[in-house]
Amino acid sequence: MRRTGWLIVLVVLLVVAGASVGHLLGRRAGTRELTGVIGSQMAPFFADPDVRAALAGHGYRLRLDPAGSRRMADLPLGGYDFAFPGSAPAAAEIARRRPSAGAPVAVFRSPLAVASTSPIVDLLQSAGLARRAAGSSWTLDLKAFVAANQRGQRWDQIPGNVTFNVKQAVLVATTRPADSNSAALFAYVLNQVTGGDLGAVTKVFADQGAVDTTTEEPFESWLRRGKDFAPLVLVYEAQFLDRGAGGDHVLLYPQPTIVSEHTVVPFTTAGADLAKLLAADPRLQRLAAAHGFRTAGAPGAVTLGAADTIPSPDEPTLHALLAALEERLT
Amino acid sequence: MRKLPAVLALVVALSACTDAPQAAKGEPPFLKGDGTLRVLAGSELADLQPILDEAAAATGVKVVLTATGTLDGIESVVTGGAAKQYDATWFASNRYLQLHPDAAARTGTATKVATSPVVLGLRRSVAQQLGWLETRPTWSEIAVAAGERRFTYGMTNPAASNSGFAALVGVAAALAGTGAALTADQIGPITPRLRAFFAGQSLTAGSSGWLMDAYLRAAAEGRPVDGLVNYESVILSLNASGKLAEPLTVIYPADGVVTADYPLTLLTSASEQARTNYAAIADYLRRPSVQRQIMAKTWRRPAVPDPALTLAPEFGPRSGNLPELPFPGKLDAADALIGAFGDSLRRPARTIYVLDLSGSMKGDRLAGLKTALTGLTGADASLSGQFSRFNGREQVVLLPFSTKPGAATTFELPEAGFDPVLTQIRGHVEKLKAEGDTAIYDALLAAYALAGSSADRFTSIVLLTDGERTVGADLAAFRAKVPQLPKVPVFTVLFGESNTGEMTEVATLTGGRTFDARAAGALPAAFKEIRGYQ
Repeated sequence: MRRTGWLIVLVVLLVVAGASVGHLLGRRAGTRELTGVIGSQMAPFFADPDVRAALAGHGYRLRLDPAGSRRMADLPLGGYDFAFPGSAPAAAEIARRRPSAGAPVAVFRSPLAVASTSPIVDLLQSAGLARRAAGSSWTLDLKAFVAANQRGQRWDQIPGNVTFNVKQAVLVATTRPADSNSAALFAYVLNQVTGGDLGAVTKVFADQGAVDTTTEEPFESWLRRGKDFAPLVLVYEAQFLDRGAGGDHVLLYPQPTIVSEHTVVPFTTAGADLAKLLAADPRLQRLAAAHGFRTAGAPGAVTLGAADTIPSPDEPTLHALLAALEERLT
Repeated sequence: MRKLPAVLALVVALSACTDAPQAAKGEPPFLKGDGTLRVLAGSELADLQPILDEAAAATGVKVVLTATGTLDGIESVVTGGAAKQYDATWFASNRYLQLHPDAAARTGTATKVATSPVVLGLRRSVAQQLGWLETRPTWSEIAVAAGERRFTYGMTNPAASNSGFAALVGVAAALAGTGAALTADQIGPITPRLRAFFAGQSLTAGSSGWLMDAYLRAAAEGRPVDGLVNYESVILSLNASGKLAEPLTVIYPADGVVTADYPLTLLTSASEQARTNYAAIADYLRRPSVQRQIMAKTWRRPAVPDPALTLAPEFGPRSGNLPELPFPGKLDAADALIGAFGDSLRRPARTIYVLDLSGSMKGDRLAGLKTALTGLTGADASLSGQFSRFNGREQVVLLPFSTKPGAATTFELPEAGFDPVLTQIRGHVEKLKAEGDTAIYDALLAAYALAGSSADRFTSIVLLTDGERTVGADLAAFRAKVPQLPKVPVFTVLFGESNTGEMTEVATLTGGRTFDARAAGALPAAFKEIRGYQ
């Protein structure tokens, strides 16, 4: 009996000790737990312990679900405090589906770019698809790229190719335009470049076959497997600067490209407060810049002028293009 | 009360030694969840259970895997059935799933956990004879050699299992040779070369696990199959298992591979708690320390791009490229490829159904049997039903029995325009009547007499009975005859009051498998599952 009594005391003590430790760890006074759905390319930023600490300093703890920016509008958005897609048009579409608590806030920017390696870029150069721009940056000539795609150009047909002599079409690996902002904006740029030749735009995507739904997925596969996964992969500049630079890696800017405004759509007051904080807090803005995003205080190392970029489309224009494209792709 | 400090000290000591696992050095603390994460998963992921056990200790989330076949799993997601029972899916790949228009609204965040390319594993001596130790062959060269029967191999059925499907996609993309995704109209022109490739297949299965067992069994019986088309992880695991008399050399086709990437995928229907649990598990599985364990224990490559995660030397190829072949981008192309595999590419099947029509089958049981068989004639419009229909060029033999084996009826489907034959099968099934005793083994031996030894067909027997043998030969008599019988697997279906022990033994003796259809309404699903093995 005596032993049983002590055992009970012991168990109670253990439970109390466990519970109080849990209490101390889990509930700091004033912490607000927010849930959000975010563009996958933002996941490494929010996973950064410094970002977590900065947010915790302001009393925020976040639980985030990465998703394709163009898919967010179709998700059940009811449980979230905010959505954080990769562009203003995607934000507009989301705000149309669930009314926002305050105006969407653009918190940082990143242009579309193409990650590759120097042997591949050399091949592109000899095929007349890429050229060195001012400084150390490279551009991918989209007009020439579409023309090559129309011809069914393969890597093994580029004269003098010994580095990637593979019977595969010259393609940029993207996500699905209907799912993901990066591919959606790329489709828009291609549509502008071709003067609205939807057939040509479709082929650039159709030739790839089935693809991923978020921009982070092909980028990670490329980081892991390099040109075996894909010799060229569509990314946000920020992804490459944050984790892609080094070795023989090269970043190309499509000519022209488009600058994507990463925009928070708040659904709750707490979400609206967080949006303001991300846009205005100097430490968080500095950390965003350290992750490669362009911010008010850090406009980016490569200057993209008016001739290098085209303005972001409005949502109805983009939506119509994507619907027409999706019809041809499925 | 004087004893209290001692107790407190004990509490401290106990909590120190029962401490939850600590995060690896340099990795952040574990995310925490509570309860379970219910996951509909490909059966080949069962080998991750030890990792998931450790994940449970670290995160507080128990991952409960429920195994399913590829098409069944996809069907369950797109029709919304999965949402009712599961929080997430975990298949070898989401590529085919994502082609379905209804998938986008059902699936959310996906976390890629590992990768493994589909390759050809060949007995080292055979690879040497073919000259493939020095030079990597293309899929075309592999197809030619297979067509000339210079080697044999086992592969899972593309309609039932992801490894077979990925292999089919890879070889078709490579043979089409455009460097871009395969379209439906490109399948016709490459059909002769695809047929050559599948002519070398001597072992088929509905799942990777059973294929391994059948491969080992064939080797043990002195009739080894030369190789396997499967995930690299399966080949390397077999090599590491110590069960092979001769190790398999991994052949990485020079023109590329299709790679599984194991995305753990949240269903949009998941509860708030399930989402938290998912986040904790996803974070756990992608830690470099865990990625390394997954590589060491299951021979899958890491998915996380951490340069410190270097590949073990067993992973190849040692030189050159391993480009990814494109996966069809349109559902009609993928479906046309699976359809073509069954009706015109694969080695055709001879499928013998031994059907118990004794008195006890009267009523609901006979009706259930008729529904299940009719489903295979194209009446089942579901995704899994569509791809388990009797195939072009297949011979379907129906052998009913009761007191004695009945008359066998053979239906031979032509390569195209087989609807009239399917209609005949339906008409024949409709007329089946139940009466008399149960001569199980007499009927089974009669089926073996019909099986013959046709090397150009995959021949198998399905045995359905709802009770015990009452007349004729018994199990001992059958067992004694097995050594003289042709090597034809018997797939036994447990139904009604089947003798589980005897049915399991028949399956084991013949290299078959047992399927359980004792639950109400389970027979159609069992018959569809068996199609993967025929």
